[in-house]
Amino acid sequence: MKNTKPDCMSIGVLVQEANTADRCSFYGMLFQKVVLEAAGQECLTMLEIVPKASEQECVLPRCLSNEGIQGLLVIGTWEQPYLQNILQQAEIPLVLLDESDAFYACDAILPENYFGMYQATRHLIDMGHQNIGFVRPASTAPCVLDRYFGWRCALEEAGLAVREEWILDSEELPAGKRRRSFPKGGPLPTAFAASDRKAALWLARILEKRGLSIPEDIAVVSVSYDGNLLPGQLASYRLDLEAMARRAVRVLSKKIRFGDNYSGIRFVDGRLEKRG
Amino acid sequence: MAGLKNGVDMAKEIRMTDIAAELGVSTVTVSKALSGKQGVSKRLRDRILEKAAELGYELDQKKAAADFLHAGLLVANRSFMDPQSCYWNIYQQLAQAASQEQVGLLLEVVSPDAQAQAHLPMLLSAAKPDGLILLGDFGKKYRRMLSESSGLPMVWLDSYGDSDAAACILPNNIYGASEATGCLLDKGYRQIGFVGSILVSERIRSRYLGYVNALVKKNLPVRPEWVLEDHDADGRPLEPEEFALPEELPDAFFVYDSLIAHRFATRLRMEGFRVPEDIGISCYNDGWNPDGFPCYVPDIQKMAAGAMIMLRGRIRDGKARVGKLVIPGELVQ
Repeated sequence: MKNTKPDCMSIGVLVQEANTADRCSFYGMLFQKVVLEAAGQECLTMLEIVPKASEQECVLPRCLSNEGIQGLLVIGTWEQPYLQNILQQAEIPLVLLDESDAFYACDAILPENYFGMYQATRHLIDMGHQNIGFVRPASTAPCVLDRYFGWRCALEEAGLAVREEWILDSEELPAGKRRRSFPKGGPLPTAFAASDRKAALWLARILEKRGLSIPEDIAVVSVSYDGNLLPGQLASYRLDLEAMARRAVRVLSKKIRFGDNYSGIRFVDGRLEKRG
Repeated sequence: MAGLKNGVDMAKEIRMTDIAAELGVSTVTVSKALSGKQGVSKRLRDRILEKAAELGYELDQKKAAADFLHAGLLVANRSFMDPQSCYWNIYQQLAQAASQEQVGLLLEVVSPDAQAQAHLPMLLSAAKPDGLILLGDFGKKYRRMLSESSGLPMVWLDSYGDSDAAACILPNNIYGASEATGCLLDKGYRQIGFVGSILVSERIRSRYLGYVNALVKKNLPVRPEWVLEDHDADGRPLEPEEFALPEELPDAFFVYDSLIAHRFATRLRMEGFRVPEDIGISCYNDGWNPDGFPCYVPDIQKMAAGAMIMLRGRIRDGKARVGKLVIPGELVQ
C-alpha cells in the first residue's frame, strides 16, 4: 500500500457503461451517491466506466494497475467470470455494491429487496387483502427474484394462495417466452404488489383501460428507490440509496485502514412509506 | 502493477519509485527523465538512466509508465448537487477519455468550505498528480490559490481559468446562446426574456451575452425586468415554485441551461400557461432536455477528449501557450 496521509484515501469505482446512460436509473443514481459520499468522507475517486465488451472479455480494470488506488468499489450486477477474475487478481480491498450473488466471498452491500417486498405485501395483508397478485419486469436479475420471493413469502406465511395467473409481466419477454398480461376472465385479485415503480406505472395504465380504479377496486404497493407514491398507491418500500452508498464507502475505508477482513453481506434497510 | 497479485512477479519488479528512492529525487523527475521530457538537467537524466539500467528497469515497463499520466480533477461540490447537472455528464466523459488517453484521473469534490477558505486540495498531498483539470467555476480566491501553490500544469474546463495565458476548454457559450435565442426570433417571437442568475458564474454570464447579442442584432431592447434569477442569494438553484415572475411576461424565454428550462417551464405550467403554445422556450442543452425544447447542444465528448490532450501537452511542455479552445456544438430543433 502506498504511503499516503491516513486521512485521505483513493478508491476506484467501477460501473458498467450501460448504467451511466440514465442518471435517474437505480444504478445511475447509486453511482452518483457513491461519488458524493466518498467526497464527503475525504476520499478521492477514480471512476472507471466499463464497456460491455471489456466485461465479456474479462479485461481487468485499469485502476487495478494504478499504484495510488487503495480500494475498489464495484457497482452493479456483473458477468460472473469478470467479477471472479477481479476477485482473484485484486490485491487491494474490494466491496461490491448490489451484486447480490452470495457466491462470492467478498464484502457486499445490498438493498433490502426481499424484506422490502415482504413488508409491502404484509401491509396489504394487514389491510385485509387476501387475493394478491404480483407484477414483475422482464429482467431476471437477482433483485427482481428477491422481490418475487418477498411477495411469495408474505403470502405463504399468511396461508394465502400463490396463483400463477395473477403473476403479470409488465414488459415484453425475450423471444420464445410467453408474456402473461392482465387476466381476461376469471376472478381478479383485490391487490397487486408491483416489483418496481415502472411495473406499478404499467399496472396503473392497464387498470385505467379496464375502468378499474386505484385504490377503490385494486390496491397497489411496490418497491422503489425514488419518486413519490403513484396516485392512489397504498404504500411503497423505499430503498435508501444514500445509506447504501455511505455504508459501502465506510466499509471499504475500514478495510483499507484496518486490514482486509471479510465480514459478509450487509443489507441496508429502506423504509415503508404509507399513504396518509 | 501495484494492485495485482498474479501475472507480475512483485519481487523482481522495479518501479520508478524505486529508482527515485535510490537517487533521492521525485518519481515525477524519474518519469520525465526516462521519457525524455523537459525539466530535468542532462546530468541528472544520465544518472537516472544509469541507475535504471543498473536496477534492471524494463524498457517496455519504462515506456508504459512514461506514457501513463496521473491527473487530478477538481469539481466544486455545488456543481454535483443535482443528479441531472451537466457536470455529471462531463465527468463521465472525462473518465472515459482518461482511460482512452492512458490517464489515471482522480476526482476530488471541493466543498463550499474548502472553496471559500481556499484550502489546498487533498489531491496534491495524497496523490502527487502530474497535472490538474479544473471543472467549472471556483471563484477568484480559490483559482488564485491553485495557480500560486500547486505549481502544476492545469487545464480549465468550462471556465476562463486563472489568467490570460490559462489553458481552457470552453463550450461555445456566446455563439450557442445567440443561436438558440435566434431560433425563437425565427419563430416570430419579439418579446424574449432570459432565465439565469448572471452573477453566479461565468458560464451563465457568457450565455446571457449570447442572448443579448441575438436581440441587439434584431434591434430589440433588453428589458431588465425580463431577466430572471434562477439561483437564490446563497447560490442555491431555485425550485419551480420559487422563481419570481414579472407582472407582465414576455412571449418567450431563452434559458441558459436545459435542466433550469425544465424547472422554469414547470413553474409556468403551474401558473396555468401552456408551454410552448403560450410561452415559447429555447435553451442551452447540457444533457437533459425532457421537454424537447429547441436547444444548442455542446459537444461534451470532444471537450473531454480535448482536455486530456491539452493536459498532456501542458505536462510535456509547461511553457507552451495553448490558449483557449472553444469547441462548437450544434443547434437542435
